Amino acid sequence: MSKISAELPLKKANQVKLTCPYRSENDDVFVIVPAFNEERVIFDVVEGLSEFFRHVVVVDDGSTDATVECLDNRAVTLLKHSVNLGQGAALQTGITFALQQGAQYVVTFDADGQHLAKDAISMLQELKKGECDVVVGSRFLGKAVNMPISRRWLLKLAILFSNITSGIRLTDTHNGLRALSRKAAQALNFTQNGMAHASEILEQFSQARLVLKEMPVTIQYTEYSLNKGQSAGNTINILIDLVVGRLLK
Amino acid sequence: MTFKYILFFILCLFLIYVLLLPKQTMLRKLFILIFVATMVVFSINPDLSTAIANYLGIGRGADLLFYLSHLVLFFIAFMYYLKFKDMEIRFAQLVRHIAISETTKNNYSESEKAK
Repeated sequence: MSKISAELPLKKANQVKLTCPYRSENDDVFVIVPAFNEERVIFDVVEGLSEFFRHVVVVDDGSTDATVECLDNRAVTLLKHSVNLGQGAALQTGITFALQQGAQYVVTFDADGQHLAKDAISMLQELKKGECDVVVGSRFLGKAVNMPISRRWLLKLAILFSNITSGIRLTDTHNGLRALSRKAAQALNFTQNGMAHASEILEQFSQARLVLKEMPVTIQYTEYSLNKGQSAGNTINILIDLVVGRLLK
Repeated sequence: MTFKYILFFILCLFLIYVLLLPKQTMLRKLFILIFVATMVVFSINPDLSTAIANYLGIGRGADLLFYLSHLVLFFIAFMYYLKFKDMEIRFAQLVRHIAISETTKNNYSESEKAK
């Protein structure tokens, strides 16, 4: 950890001039960024997003590092979980808040810097045509930069599982970049606080009979995002969460 | 022989304790009553449990009690698991409520003004 911090100095808000040339056409869009201990990258991610979006909502999931301080004086909305609950819970908090504030469209965007803001824009354009309720990103239709082979197979397995259980056929089920209409956002109610939400979200889309569309997106794998991502061992835990959650319904 | 009386005594104490607990539903009291009564009968007359076990195709009465206790314990563990999951969801709702209401009260109006 100390090695990484030597290479990547913390960017603080006062070191960068505050510019926010947001576009008014995206005023009804809320971008939800669930973040847990992302002090190294959260600033750049938020910076990239605020170029296009007025409403960037960072949900701090009880981070123990300087994630919150990195966002001081930034034109973002910060929702703070007082304790760590998991990514699913953080997303739900952001979505609930966005709906309360009257969002017409909700974009979910991972905080570890693997997504591109311009992908979110093109997904929103597709969504605003009104032909579908949800647009999800797919790295297998698009590009996955520097994806390790082990990660590829892990994801393929997860996709197979989700396609079987949710009844929706997608080429990439575990992509953090999604654009939802208000209707789709209202249909969501996460019961899986942890990482199992990625499969749960699809089941709920399927139950609400929403129209899904996939769009190619670029995922940039960095050493940082790979370390933050799911290990093969944790996949077993996610699977158990899902199976039990299914039994309890 | 003495063990039988000790067991009987403990079971009776347990029964009185449980029945005196406040906020117990009638169903639960009834369940405990039946459970303790069965145990008392078995402790006084162990041959009865063997007879039932034989009827069910299990060799000894002790084995029957062993299997039953496994079932009951599994059931209890499962009920607690459900309760725990439910608490987790409620807990998340509480944290969510705090996060949103704090932001709507303070930060959000300010960040809107800043723009």
